Amino acid sequence: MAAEFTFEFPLPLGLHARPASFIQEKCQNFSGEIIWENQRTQRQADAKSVLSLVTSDTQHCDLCRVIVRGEGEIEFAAELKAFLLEELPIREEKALQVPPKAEAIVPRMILEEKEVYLTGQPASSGIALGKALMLKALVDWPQVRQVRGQRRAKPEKEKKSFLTALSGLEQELKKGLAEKAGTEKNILQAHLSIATDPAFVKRVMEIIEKERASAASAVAVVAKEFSEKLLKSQTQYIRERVADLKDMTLRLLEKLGYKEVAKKKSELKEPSILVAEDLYPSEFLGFKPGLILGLILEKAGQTSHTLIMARGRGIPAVTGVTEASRLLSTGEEVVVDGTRGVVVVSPGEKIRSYYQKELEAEHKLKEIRQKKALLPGRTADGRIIEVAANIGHPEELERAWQDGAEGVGIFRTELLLYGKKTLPGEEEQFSLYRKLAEEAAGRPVIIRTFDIGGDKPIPSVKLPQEPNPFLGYRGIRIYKEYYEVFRNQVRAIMRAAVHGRLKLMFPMVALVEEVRWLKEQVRKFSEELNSQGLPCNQNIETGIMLEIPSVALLVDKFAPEVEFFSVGSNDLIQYFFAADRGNPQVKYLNQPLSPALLRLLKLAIDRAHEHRRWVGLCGELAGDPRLTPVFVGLGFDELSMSSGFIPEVKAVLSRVRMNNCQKLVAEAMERATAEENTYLLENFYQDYFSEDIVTSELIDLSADCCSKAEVIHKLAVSFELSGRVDNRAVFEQALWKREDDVATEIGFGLAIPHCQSGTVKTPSVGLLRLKQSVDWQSKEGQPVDLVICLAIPSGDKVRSQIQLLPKLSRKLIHEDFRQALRQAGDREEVVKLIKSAIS
Amino acid sequence: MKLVAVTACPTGIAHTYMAAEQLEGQAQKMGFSIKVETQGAMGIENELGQDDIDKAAAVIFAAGIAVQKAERFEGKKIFEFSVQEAIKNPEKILQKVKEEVGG
Repeated sequence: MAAEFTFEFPLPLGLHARPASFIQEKCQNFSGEIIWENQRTQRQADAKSVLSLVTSDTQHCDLCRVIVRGEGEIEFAAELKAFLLEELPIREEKALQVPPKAEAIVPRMILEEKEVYLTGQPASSGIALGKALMLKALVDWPQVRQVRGQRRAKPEKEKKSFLTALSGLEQELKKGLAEKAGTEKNILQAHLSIATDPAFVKRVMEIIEKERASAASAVAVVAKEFSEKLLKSQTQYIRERVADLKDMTLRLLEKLGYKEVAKKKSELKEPSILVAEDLYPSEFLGFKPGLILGLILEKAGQTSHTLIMARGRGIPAVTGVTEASRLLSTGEEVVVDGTRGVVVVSPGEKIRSYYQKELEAEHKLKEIRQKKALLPGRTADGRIIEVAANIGHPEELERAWQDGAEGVGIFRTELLLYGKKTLPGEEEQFSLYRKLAEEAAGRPVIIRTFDIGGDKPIPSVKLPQEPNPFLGYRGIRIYKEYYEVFRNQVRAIMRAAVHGRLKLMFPMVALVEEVRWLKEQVRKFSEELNSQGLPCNQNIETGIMLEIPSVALLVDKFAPEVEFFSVGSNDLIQYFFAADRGNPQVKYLNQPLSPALLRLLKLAIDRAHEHRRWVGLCGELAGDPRLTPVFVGLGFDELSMSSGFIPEVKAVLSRVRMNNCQKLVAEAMERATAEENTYLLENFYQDYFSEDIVTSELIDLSADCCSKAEVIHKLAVSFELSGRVDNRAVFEQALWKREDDVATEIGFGLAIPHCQSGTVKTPSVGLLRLKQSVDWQSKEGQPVDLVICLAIPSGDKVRSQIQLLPKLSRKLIHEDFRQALRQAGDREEVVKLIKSAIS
Repeated sequence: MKLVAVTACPTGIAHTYMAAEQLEGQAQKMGFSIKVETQGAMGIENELGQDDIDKAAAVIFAAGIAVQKAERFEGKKIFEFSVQEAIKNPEKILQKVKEEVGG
């Protein structure tokens, strides 16, 4: 006898790992046998085995027959049916409601299309679509192959060692479970359910017995078998299970004595998206530039040098993607959305089209940027501020000039050393610096001597391990011990300086006596070179990094020793606020607008100017165009940044005036918090960058959109292209947030999406006439064919302009006005209509 | 009949004013006098004084958020609607007020 029932599988994502484990849990309580039969795939599964259930490849609405045999079969069958149809969907829904990390912005389209995605933090903006390459794959099946095929004569012995290994692993996992929480606990839970999965264990024993395989060989064979079944499934979510399986196989094999199958670095042969826990700068630089399409990292800090370089090269990156290297696998198609901090796995058609539009938008934005790149580094009232590029390698020069760099503000020479077994000698460096000087063709290039230590360990310099490398033995502090390294580099720079405008800069100076020592050595080197008959620039312009707060307070005493200072904002902020820049837990202390920091900088710059010394800024901050008015107001003479930021910074520079910026800084220094200053700065932008509320760029009279999500995206793109918002992703999210309160469809075929957001630069109105009506997802809503988007910035100084929007809103109530908007022959006419409505 | 109303919505740049416009227009059509206070991004505008409120036969709230200074309306007959209703169907609202208050 047996009890059975047939039902339609209710979960939209199909029967993947998580619901399978719920079902297994439920069936465990029943002593008899439970068979799951998928009528579509004709596959049978043991409902007490997660792996077996998953391999039944059950999709949404598949007809399934469940057969229950054993004591109390009728009662349990009824109970199980109720569980599958009622409780399971609820549990699955709850499990899916894990909120994405705060900083990621998941496009609505991805949610609506139910795509598989991972979230992290945006780390380098831009979109990349391509194949993933795992840099540290846990187990590569080809490497497990060497284990397969081993035979042993005594199956009983092999079974015993397998069971010993298994129970050892089980104990480890259980111990881990007791200690861990959250995601890590979930992973261990998943591993444990595989380790104890009856189908897996049964199959291993079978192979040992029948094929006289060694325990390790049987584990490898079965793992491969199961993995292939999992991969054949249509449900993308199942990949998670494959990763678990790989992970557990590796650990089992390790227990059986096969350590050598573990971890091997993959090689990059075709353009790919790199996936890794973290990537050292040396590894990043080890790859050919064109081959890296994008980066997906688990742990890299926003100011890690790898990410800084990725931004410099315009490579899209997302960091903080928990478990990326477990969840993705080599060869898989992925989208890296570095603008929003999202990774989409095997994107469907609509998502591809969404990102196609994103790529087009990026392309147009690039053209706009190129125009800005040609602007001179000068404020509207004529104060010259040199806009330069930060580089880590001479190869980056070409891109820097294209971006409009007027020089190089810092060449971080230690990046040349990554991945090299030996340090380059004087001659090698001389020819490199000389080439640099010549390529710069009269533009100034500041060469910063090796800053080794801290977050930038160099294989060829053996520095002692220290608990706090950022506060330890790095920069010029090691020059006395590594005198030859120092000597070779400075001599090479001085010699190359004959061929162009090279300047010399020293890192990590804290004391005047350090500079005096450095200058003394420079004099010595120049005498040496003279006596050797080697031409050199004896009067090479020499400066120091201003990154340790002690220098800022003693600029007047440093001034006689040096010709310039260059602020390294990342280190200065980290030392000033005593907060490790790579530690996400103290990230809130990274406060560029802190009044304390502004006072420190103002004091240092004023003192430097009193002594006729110039001051530059070469940290990452220099590239943030929002902060440009602040840096102008502080009196910086030079701003040097990853070249990608140059066009936008130049565009801001060309529009601001010295006295306004100075007033802004004077006010900001008197506030108590960085937050107040953020607000102050937003208002500053409103006062000096205000534009017409509507222009024809914001109007589209025949927009081709198939859904509300496409309309909102189109608006977001056009608002960024016309310079109305800083970040279309943030703007898009803000519009959706308002729609989620209550959809903004108001009848008459009209919707008025709107928002107030910090990303909006100036109050703006956009209008779309839709080719075909779309459903606006509102209660009892009518289709919409006319969309008017209203955007206002946050901040309170915009009243006069915000006032215009209510006027327009009132006007939209009137049929004749709507009629006129619908019938207007061209965009200019619409602009006129809107303007007259609000005047 | 004299009426007063308050309109408000989360962002306060669109619906608040559209609802106000609709209520004013519809009242005029139906021969009522109405004063509508808007609570939006501009703060409170066309603010209702105690005198306005005292003289009104009824109060209409068309709001998607809590109405500010609600204590002014204590003891008055208040009709509450969503701001969408006021935009989409002002006639229904005023008809209902008319039926219940008379006039």
